[in-house]
Amino acid sequence: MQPVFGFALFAVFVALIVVLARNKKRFPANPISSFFFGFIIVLLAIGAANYFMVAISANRLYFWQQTIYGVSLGSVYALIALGYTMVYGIVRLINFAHGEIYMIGAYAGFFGVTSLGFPFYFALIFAMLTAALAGVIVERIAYKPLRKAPRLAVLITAIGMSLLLQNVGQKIFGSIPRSFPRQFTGLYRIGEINLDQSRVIVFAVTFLLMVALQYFVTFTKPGKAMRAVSQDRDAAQMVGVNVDRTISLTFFVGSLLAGAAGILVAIVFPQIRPTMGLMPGLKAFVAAVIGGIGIIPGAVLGGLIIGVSENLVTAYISSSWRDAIAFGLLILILLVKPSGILGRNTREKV
Amino acid sequence: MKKGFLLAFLLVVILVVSSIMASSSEPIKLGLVGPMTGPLAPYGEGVRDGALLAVEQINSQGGINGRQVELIVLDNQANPQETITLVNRLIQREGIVGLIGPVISSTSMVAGPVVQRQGIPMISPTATAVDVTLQGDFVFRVCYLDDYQGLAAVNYAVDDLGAKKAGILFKVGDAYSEGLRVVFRDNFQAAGGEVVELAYNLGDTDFSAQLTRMKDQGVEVVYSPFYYEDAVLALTQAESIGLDAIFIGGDGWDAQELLDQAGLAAVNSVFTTHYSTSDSRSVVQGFLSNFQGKFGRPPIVLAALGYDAAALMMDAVERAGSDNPREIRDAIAATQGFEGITGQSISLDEDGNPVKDITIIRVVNVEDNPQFEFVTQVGY
Amino acid sequence: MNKHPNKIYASPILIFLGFAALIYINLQVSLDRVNFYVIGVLSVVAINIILTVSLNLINGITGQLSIGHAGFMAIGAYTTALFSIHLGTPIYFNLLVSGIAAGFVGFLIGLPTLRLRGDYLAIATLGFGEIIRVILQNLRFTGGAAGLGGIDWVDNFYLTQFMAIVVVIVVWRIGASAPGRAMVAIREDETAAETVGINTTKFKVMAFALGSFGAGIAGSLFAHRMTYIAPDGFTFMKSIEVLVMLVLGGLGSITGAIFSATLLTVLPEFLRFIDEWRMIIYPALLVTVMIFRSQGLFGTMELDFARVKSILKKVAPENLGPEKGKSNPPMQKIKALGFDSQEQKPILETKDLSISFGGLKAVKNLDMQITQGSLHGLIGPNGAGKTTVFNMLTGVHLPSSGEILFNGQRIDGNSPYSVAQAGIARTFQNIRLFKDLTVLDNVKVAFHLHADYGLGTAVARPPKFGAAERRITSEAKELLEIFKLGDHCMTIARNLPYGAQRRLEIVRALAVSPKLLLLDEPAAGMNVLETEKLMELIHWVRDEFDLTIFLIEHDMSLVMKLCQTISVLDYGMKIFEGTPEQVRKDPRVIEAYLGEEVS
Repeated sequence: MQPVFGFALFAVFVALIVVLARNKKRFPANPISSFFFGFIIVLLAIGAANYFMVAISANRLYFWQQTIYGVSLGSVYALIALGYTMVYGIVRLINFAHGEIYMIGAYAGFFGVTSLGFPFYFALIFAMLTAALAGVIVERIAYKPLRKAPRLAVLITAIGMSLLLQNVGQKIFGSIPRSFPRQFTGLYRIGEINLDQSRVIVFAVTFLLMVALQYFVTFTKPGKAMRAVSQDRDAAQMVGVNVDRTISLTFFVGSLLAGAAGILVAIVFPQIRPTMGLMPGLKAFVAAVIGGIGIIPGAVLGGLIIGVSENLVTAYISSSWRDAIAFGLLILILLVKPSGILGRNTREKV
Repeated sequence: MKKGFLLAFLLVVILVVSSIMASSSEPIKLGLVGPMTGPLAPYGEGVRDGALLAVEQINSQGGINGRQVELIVLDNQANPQETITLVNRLIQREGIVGLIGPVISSTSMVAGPVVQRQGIPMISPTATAVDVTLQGDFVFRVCYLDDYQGLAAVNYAVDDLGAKKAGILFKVGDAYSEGLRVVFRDNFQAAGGEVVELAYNLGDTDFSAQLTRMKDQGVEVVYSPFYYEDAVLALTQAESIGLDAIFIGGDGWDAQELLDQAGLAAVNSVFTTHYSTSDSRSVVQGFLSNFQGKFGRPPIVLAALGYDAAALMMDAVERAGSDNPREIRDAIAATQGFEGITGQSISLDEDGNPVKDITIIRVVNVEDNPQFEFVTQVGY
Repeated sequence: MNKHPNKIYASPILIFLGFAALIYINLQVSLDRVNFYVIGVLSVVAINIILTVSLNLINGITGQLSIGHAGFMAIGAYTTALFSIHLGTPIYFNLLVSGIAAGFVGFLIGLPTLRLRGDYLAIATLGFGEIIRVILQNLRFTGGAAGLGGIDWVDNFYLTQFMAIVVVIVVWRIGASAPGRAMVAIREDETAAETVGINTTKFKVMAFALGSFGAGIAGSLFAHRMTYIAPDGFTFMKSIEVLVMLVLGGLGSITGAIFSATLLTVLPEFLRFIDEWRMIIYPALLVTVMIFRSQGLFGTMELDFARVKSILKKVAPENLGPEKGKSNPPMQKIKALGFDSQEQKPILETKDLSISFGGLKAVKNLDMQITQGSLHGLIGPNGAGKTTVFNMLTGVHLPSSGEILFNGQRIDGNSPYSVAQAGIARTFQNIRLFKDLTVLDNVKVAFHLHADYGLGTAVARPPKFGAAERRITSEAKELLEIFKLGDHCMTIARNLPYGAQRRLEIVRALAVSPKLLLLDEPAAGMNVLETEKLMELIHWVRDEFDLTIFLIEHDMSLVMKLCQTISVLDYGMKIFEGTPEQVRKDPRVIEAYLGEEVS
């Protein structure tokens, strides 16, 4: 294809995105139409990127291959970010120990598959439940007594819990990395692009979990209670919501997802270690902030953005700049729109 | 009067003898510093276990010149600042006469000046960065330098594999990885080859982007100077994206886990290392079986270096016939033809670096089971 | 008099113990009684104290959550390394350059970042800390990942200790000065701080740059001690280490920071025998301390240092101010700062003022004039947009359109602090005092504009400083006396009775020397008697201080009796304006209140 042609199509796609984004208010604000709106934007963005590659005569195949890898990495970030975002939304706490919950999920999955001999999907559920249990226990032990304490004290406690779990993990599981048994080794090909079965499964499970979570939060009673507590804890309590139980439930659900992320990451990158939670944990929090903290689709969007941009930086520049790019994006977003891409600007009440 | 003199004489003799007895039964103290917690703990623990085994063997044979050896192990979490404190502590408070470690190059860089100033000999088992032993005449090592390892890899790639285009996948922020990368790149280019360098970060588990790019560029070999955990990932991911270049690793690859975890994806890879477990020398086989007996698991390769460092240090103490650190240093510097696990005849050059052979090992497929196969030993 | 006496008396004992320990340590070191190892540990203690105390200036005193301190330490360390390696400069020079370099980068980063608040700021600083490390790791002249070696070895315990003492004294002195009070005010309530005329951005950036300066010094000492530095020594975990030291000691407490930096550096040395369990015990200890004493071991204890000193010196607070009288110098000064012409021109004017939040127009096309020297009331049903008008007038909210003129000058778009400096002070509907400061400090913060000295004076403390401080204290006390709060000078503001809190807020607003005072529901929550007294007070204040007063009030009787002119707001629109008589009779007003009795 001619570069000029590519450029023209690129311009068309960008124009469509701009037009759509400017008319966003005309779309009804319910979750399903928001989802479709987002979906269309994503499709248009894919088109725009594709023709941009044509326009600059770059290797499109390479680009899309990298982007797909980025999406699968990003969906892991997204799963972890969901837990961060929910917990932050409800107790305004950056739960640093969340990365370790993800590590616990990975080890639970590992022992589920190896020692207990579970089939994969059973091990997935086992990992999720174990992680969720761990999350709730951490909340009970460390955060609940600090409900009324200064925010910074809780933050330090979270960091302490993170270090504690990491080192206890090293004592229990040993510091030597464990190799996760290979689960899905299939390989699909779309044209010239490789699509591993494992990555497809990661993406599919992430997607299902996200839809389930959105449903849970929007339509079920405990989910509504969760949203109520996150908006105004006192008011929620007054209308009969059991705040303590709702907070525990939030930790439960968030950790459930982190557990899933732990075992899912292990089927693509089959190596788990007690310190594996630190960096993905931080990155996932960055993802949550970029997408708009407290907003569920925002966490997913942020996760995907980080995953894809990290992979593209690695592919086109150098991975030595990768962390800088993730945090650079974060700072850019914070300075331009502190409430995140999907966040609403809120004013302090005076 | 006479009786009194005799009594006094006896008393003096008893005192002298007992003081000699006391001093000779006082153990010779050696220190070991390395990461025992944190992400690098496996290496620290490996070196520690190897060194402990060497010390235990000497002690069970009656010690050195009748004195037992005590090895004091401290955890520095691979942290440079901590390392300074710990080395000072070992020297000043525990009264060690020799230091083994630190395991990681960056911590060895800060430990070097400290031992140099205080006149305590140090043998690093595993620090491969060139500058480590250039910090003073009290600093030695038993592993070979990155230069030689990298050069051996280049020679093998060019001469034996006939490669013209090589990829290098290296770990940013890691002195070991970056050091080897530079040596390989420079020498490969000097040999007329073309190099594609791609980096990754500490903690990365996804190398697909880098490997795809290498496939895209059509590299024939991928030089992979990093540890086996990352090698497992690189090998399996290379298989899944269909990159069929031959991987050449460094000593960091030498671990049974490589085979267990990477499986058949590891077949055809080669790596340079310190010794081969199929070496029939009794020192090697004894080490392997004793280690398995003591710790219930096979040693990692760094354990062999830890063993050699401790054994060389104790050998030097014996040769010096004294626990004076300065004399021990001189004895270490004078080492010639020391038989260790990682070399049949190890000598130290004027910089304190070992002169010994490099072992090259290949992974082969034996009835669908990957196995290490000894390829060759290269001297230099 | 004091509601928390134990805090005050604990401090001098600790300071004494600290000095005793310092003398003992130096004696031991100078007599060669201790070995390299112990001196080394002590040097690490000193470096950690510098890091912790300098971070305390940012996190503790100014309340800005920064978790990227290691980045600034790295800049200091690398500056020293480069100077030492390439130019062979001596450590004294390197200390200075490194401090300046880190402080400068702190300034550059702080300027855009400090607009963020709370956790967002924390994450941004974390990001910057990491970016600094990644950049160092990628630059050629910083040696990349392998780092830089061959730095001059200087392991001078006396120098390191001296630097630590200097940093402690500097931070301490800043804490107990006008700039320090401004920083503390920002920590307590940023919005309230702005409305008493504190340029919050300036002071936040100042604290950030100074804190970074300290980190740079620590980095320089670190580099000279290590002789070899690499980027991986300055990771996120290093920042966390410093933060933990700070929070464990008590955020905002310098003595606490010193204590916990010492404890957390020395304690692991005693825990070596349980080496492999150390990394489990350490965080477990941290979590336990946080759960059972979440304010840290010391809380914000010694911020009351100035008081400790006054107790030690036995200076009776009463001696500071002149006798309570009708006309005294400071009062005249406040008046002098106010206007003195009595023309009937509008002091404040709004033209076509509107604001919308999202789709909702909260205030629509407001045209209003407030006559100089008048008592003007603003009434309207709940949600009519009254407080929003105040917020626009004081710069808290930016109007969507329209103009605000103050003394003929446009002030819309100005930030709250410059509006306050121009002469508009306010109180808040839901009292916003600096709750954890004393009553006296609340007022002294607002006298910030009277402090005619800068940071340099605050640190060096020439006689001028003492004079200025004494003047500020006596003026503040006098003002408090007038409002019958003189006996409560040392009370923590949150412990005051409700009515007194309202009065204190008015005192604080008056301390800004305003020409126009905005009162947002001053009578809210008061009983009839208190309201009666308040009315007298407002009248008296207006006359005594030559002010114009604009007030929002729900208590109709108060508004009707007090105000000369009343504007009525409904659904964001001015529906009526006139004298109390006219308002009482106007059908539109009555309708707006939906039959509510307008008596």
